[in-house]
Amino acid sequence: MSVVLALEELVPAFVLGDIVGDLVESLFGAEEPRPFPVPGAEPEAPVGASISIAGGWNGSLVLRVSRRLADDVAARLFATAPGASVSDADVLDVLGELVNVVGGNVKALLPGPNSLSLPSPCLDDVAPLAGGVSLVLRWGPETLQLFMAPDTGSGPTTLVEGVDR
Amino acid sequence: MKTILVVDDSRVMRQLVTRALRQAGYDDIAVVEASDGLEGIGQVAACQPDLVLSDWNMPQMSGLEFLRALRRQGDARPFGFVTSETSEPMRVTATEAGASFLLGKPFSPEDVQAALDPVLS
Repeated sequence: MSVVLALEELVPAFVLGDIVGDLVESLFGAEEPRPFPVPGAEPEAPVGASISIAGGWNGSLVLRVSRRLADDVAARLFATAPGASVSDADVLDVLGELVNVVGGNVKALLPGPNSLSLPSPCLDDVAPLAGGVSLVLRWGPETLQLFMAPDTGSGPTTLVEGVDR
Repeated sequence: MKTILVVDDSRVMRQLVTRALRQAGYDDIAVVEASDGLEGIGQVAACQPDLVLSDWNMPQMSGLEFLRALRRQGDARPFGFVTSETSEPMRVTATEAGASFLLGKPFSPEDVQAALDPVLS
């Protein structure tokens, strides 16, 4: 039996939120406030990262966060001394790993087989993706956005074979 | 003292794996690092680790290529993947290539302990 599933059914926005929440807890412990959805918020001075999935499903995932959040996460993970600044390389490393972990977890939800690209972190704004699933989270005082969309031309839905629903 | 080689192209992830090892109770181990499979091969030869923990998706040489290269050399030391990708086909591929386990990111110290205890005991 074959069923056509929309991306929103395969990877609902709340699942993206759960993945981010589990990642945050893994990084900073259960005491860290879990990011929660806040529709419409925009990160200030955004930086971000993207990663591509190819195979049974073809598309991309984009992460956008404020530069301040990226700096703060990198400083905490690298245990930078108070007042010291983190290097751009460390911020890029953290952005890349964040989108890599989310991408890897999302990939497991998609019809495959699929391959995951290497992440592409960027200290400039990364264009949001249209036509897919998106999520805006408040993490402490900062904003985190995730966008996931199929490549142009591959359509908004995915054919899943052998799924009995 | 046992030695664990942590291979990941992300410096922060190498640090997080090392932190999780300590939190999981592996205080008396030495941790050495490499940033991809090619560097990992050199570190295996130089440090003779008791266990290799490797990312899967890396530039230069992926974790799977790294594992296969070691096995081709006749190196049978325990090898586990620490990766964000943990689909069943990947588990099968990893096991067939000779991996002892595939630990998903994000992970807790308890996850690390559950994966490593059977291998290091």
